[in-house]
Amino acid sequence: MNRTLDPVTFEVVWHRLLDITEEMGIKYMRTSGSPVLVGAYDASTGICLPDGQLVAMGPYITTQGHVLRLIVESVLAKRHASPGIGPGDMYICNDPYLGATHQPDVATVAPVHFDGELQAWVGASGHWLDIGGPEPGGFNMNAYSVFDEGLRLPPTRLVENGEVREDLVELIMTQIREPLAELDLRGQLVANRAGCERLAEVYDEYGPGTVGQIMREGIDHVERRLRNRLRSLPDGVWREVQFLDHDGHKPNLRKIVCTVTKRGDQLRIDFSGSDPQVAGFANCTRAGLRAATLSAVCIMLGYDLTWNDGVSRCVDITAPPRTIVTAEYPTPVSMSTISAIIVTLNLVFGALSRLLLASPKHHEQAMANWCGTSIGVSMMGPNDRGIMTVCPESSHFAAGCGARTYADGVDTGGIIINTTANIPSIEQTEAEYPIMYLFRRQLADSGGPGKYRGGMSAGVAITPYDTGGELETTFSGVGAETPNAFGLAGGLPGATVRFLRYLEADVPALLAAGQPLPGDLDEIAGSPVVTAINRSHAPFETGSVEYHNWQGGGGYGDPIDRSPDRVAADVRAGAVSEAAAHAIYGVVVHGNSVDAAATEQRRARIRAERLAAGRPARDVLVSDRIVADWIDEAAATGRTSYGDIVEFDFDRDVASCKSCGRALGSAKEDFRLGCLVEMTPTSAAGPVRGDDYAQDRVRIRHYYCPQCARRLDAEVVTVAAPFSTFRLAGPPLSA
Amino acid sequence: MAYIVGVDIGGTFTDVSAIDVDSGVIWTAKARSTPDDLIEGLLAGVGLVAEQVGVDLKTLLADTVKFAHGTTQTSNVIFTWVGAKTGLIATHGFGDEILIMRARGRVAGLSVSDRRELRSTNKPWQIVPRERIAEVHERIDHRGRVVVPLAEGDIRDAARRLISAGVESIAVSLMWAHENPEHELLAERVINDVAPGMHVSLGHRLAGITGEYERTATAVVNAFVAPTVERYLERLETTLSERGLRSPLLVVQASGGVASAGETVPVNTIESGPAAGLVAVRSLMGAVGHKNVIATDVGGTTFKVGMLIDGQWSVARETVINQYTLSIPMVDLVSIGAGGGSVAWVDDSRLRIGPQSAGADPGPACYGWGGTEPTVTDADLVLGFLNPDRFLSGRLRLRRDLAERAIREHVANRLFGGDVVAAAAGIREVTDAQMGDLVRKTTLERGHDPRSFVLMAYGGAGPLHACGYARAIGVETILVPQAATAYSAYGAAASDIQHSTQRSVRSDLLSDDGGLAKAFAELDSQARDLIAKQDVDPDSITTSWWADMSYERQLHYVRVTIGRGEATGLDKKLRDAFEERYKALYGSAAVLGKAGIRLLTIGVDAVGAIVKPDLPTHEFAGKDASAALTGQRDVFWPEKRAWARTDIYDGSLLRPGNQLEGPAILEQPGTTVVVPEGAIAVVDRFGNNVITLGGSTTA
Repeated sequence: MNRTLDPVTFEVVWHRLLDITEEMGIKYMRTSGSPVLVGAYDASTGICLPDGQLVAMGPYITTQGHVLRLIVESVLAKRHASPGIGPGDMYICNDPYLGATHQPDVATVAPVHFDGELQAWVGASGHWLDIGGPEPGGFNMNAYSVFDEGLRLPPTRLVENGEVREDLVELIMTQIREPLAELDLRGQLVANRAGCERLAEVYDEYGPGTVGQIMREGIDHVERRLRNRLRSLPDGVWREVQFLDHDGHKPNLRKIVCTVTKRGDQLRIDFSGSDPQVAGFANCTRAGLRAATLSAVCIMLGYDLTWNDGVSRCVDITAPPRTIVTAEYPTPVSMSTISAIIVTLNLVFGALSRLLLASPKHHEQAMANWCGTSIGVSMMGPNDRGIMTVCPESSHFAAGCGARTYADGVDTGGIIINTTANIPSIEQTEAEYPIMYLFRRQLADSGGPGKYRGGMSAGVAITPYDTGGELETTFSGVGAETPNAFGLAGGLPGATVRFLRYLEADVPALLAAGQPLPGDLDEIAGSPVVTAINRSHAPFETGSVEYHNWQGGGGYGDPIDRSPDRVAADVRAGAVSEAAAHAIYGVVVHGNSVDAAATEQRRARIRAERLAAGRPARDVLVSDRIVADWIDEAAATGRTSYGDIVEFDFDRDVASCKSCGRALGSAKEDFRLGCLVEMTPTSAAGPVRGDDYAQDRVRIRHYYCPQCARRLDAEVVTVAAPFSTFRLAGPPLSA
Repeated sequence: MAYIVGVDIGGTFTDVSAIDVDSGVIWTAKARSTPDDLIEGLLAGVGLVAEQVGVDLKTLLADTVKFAHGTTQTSNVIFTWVGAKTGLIATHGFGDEILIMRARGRVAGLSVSDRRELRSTNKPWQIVPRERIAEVHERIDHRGRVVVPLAEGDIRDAARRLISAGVESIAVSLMWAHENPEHELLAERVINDVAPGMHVSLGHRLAGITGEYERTATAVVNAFVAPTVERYLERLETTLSERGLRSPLLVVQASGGVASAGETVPVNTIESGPAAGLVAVRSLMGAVGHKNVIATDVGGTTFKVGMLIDGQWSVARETVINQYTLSIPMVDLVSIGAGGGSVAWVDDSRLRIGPQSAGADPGPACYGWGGTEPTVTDADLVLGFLNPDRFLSGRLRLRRDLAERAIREHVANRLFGGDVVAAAAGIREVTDAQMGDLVRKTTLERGHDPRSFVLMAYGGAGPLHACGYARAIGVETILVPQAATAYSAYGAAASDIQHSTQRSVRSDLLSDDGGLAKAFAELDSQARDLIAKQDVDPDSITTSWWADMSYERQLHYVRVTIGRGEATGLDKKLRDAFEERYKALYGSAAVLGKAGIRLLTIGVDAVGAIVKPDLPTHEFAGKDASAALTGQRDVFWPEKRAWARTDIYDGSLLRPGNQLEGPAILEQPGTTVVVPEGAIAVVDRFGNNVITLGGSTTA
């Protein structure tokens, strides 16, 4: 710590600063109106240094907090000279090429002056209900450029010296079909004003010099802590590959490749090898890539730290231009948050989980992927009062959480980027919008199988009701064909997204007769049509039913290592079907109890089948060894273990199966090369794993111990894509 | 003779107050709580108080005109998950809502930092696991119309299924039942028929609000706690009447009022102890003449902040208990894990306090019970604020050497160059500042400026730290209550019968002045009837009307209170009140002039005034406090960064009118009052210590 700054003053002021970001967040939520924002807390607040460095972010969505720095930098670069940055000003900006993640995420930042000088910035960023453009909600799957998407605001001075420019407010609101969005706009002003007032009090009390020093020290502290943590982890290289399966225009399987290199106290996260940008709206800009990458680092390595730019100093992010994660102007990106950004987050999350799992001290910190994507669901039409409504159905935020190394993932517990999970209540939605829910249910088998199961997702079925006219639906997202919630250490991926339409459900006839309504998928009359994950302005006819479910969490460890009693409990609770218990977990359940003998037999058979089907990895996999020039391989000594899966002995240079002791190969190469490999359809992980959308392009590659048949890893792959990589340079660097 | 008896059963002690209605004299007693059978400890406590009064138990109870009781029973059941085996009947298609918990169940009630440790977050224990959720075919729509009728056979089957699964209590919560309760009422009749004596909790009856999860969670938690709590109250009522009590047993509610045992809804008594504490604050502050009060209660592990605005506490209609979001009327109290037991630790270069607490086991290092981590209490001891020989009235001798060692090893050596005193001063300063932050946040978030408030400090560590956190937020006056009135038991004795009625309404009611007046009038008479039922003179009932309102389609609401409204002009009154309150909370930039205003819920709070104690007053004994002066000791004052020879007073010897100047320390039986330099402490005519930080001397 800086010599002139005593720890007591630091602590006192720092706590105040964190409280300020929280108060800003709460005020923002209370004054905004949108169900996305308030119902799902899709927002963040923060304090930045004069140059934009993030000092602290408030609660809620992590990625929204990370954009503030870039927004401030854009304001400084473009508006410094004219019209200038003065006390009481606020700038609004949502341009994804100037720092925002996508157009519906609008940020407003306010300079904080004291003693006539710029001391800091406060900012609020959040997902508006609408941002104009061709599509309600702002996601346009038919876009070929940003000009086909919503309103783009470069840094614009919305508040001048304390006065709200009502003409500009009106200019913005005139472009937006949903008047409620004005509450979202005003909520940001309220949050920033509260931030400015509170900061002024702190400056008044402690002086701007001290407070500025504390802000900088707060960033330094996080950097030091993160570097310490990195130093306690092993060096190595982890490459992960995931897929975006739709570009908006059509199913279009595109890969994102992420290589995390950890050396000493620095991370290098590189996206070379990712596919080129696509014509549709599934790309993200470098701003989105940065937000996603830093969010994953914060979650996995900074869980006990303040989330600020101390984290970003420890991370070098590199990526070639014009890829799907570094789209160039004016490529469309309006879906980025629920496509390229969240999938990028999964990738970094997955690689960091492997890094953590390679250090016994950090085993418990690793997790399988949480629900790997998010979706956008809008239902539009007049309600019974004749008001035109756009319902952003957000049940899908009750997604499955990833399994832990010691416990199941939480069922319907929320998506990874949101620290404050929340979904709207059904009754509140029915009160506002011309729809009726038939059910909202947790989805059996949606959690990725594993020794510890991934959390279940859920599904909802909705029908038009009390409408004042015709309804339409618009869906968007990725993750219907390919699972994105990968398992860890032999665990399998969670369920994919699925949209079903029932045209012959004939709900009005049931209502007219007072007959029971369907309360589960198999009770809906007629056969469903599987509908595209991206689809705009589809008619939502009276009598029809729209169903969708979302992704579950990934599992941890081999499912045949799961305690049979836990599997039986899952069957009783409807979390696992009897069929999956038998096929995947190898557990035979009769009624309420486990048939122990049959289970043992079944599991032995699964092992035998694996050994029969598997082929040596070295024969199957094309060598794709990452050249890691920085690893001093000769220096590695000592031991470490990768979870309870693999033991690494660098003295003997051997990696071996922790279950049976079988040597798999050199400690310094990918242990999976010593495994048996089997390729299966994704349905090996359970039902709803993309089979409804199957183009037969993605498969699961399983890695088995050649001796005991334990599954040591599983990944979702295409035949052509580079496979993931696991390379350890040595044991953890310090205890 | 006529007595009022108040009882508060806490985790460790059962506090009992008896008050002579005519003279206002208060007797208090403390008995050890008896978790296996709480009534034992209660009777022991009442017996002890009777001894002090000088009568036998039977006489005391026979002469008691009001017996008010705050119970921890409900909180115990829910916080230790030991309630009834509970089943749930839900609308077909929606049985999972209580398990999905709107996804928020994983993080509800957690701090921002706890939420960020995603890996460690979990949903709470399932009160009703999937196997005990039965779904029935029925559906009511958002306007309360029956869309799918409920068949009696269907509910009968569901009830039987649950009974065969061994349930002891059933919650019924159906979609939109608050708009049309007929299906839930039918379910109740059928269950009563199938299983006479089975407890049934109905969602619409417990929480008449839109929001199926919150309504269901309230019904489920009530069903979970009800059998235990109802059995307990029945038994207590019988026991007390056998021993001579003739007045009805009154039970403290989370809303701050009392209700007769028969009218008590178990879930509404969760956390009623702290609510009763705020009642005590109001009673006391009302007598002293303060209407805007910040009440701070600092114990070993929790720091609680409540507020009185114009003599009223506000009641929140939603609260989080064990990560379940419940819709119950509850005094708006904010609580964080901070107190004397909070552990100080070094995080790289930072001095952090909490959130870990040494609690009561192993306790602060200075207790000598094996704790090695330094706590706030250890710092207070090292600095000289605590007297090692007089802690807990001398029952526990504090070990300064252990406190010093803990601070040296864990904090001083790493951040303060080995200077234990500087480290202890740092711990105290950071603690005070963070408590101040909570008070500031609590008041500002509710649209008030803390500087215009009087701060009341109670609980073991409140008066010890109040001067620090009061100064941090700019409060001038601190009041430390006379010990006997500082307890929830006194609050129970001072409470009124209270009942609230509320209902979600359709927004168009706001443009229907006649309908609005009618709806309020209905709720008003319902609330009055409920109170009148409890032996209250109808003339002593007062009501206050309120509404939760928002801008069109906004999800958060603002509560406005309009007193008891007239028959006309209510709509305008509500709109004006809303805009005014909204502006106060969020500033004029937030006001959306052209947006419609929406009415969500209306309600009536009714209070039936019943006999209450008058505080006894004392003659002023003159300014001279020297009779209470017991000596001096060295105290390290962090704000001056120096030791100062400090006067020590025996608080129990101070008399009304006595005045003293800081720096001084007043040692009282349950707490230590710190009076910093420049401050003046005066004992008022009720025996409270009033500390003026700036130093003016109005008593």
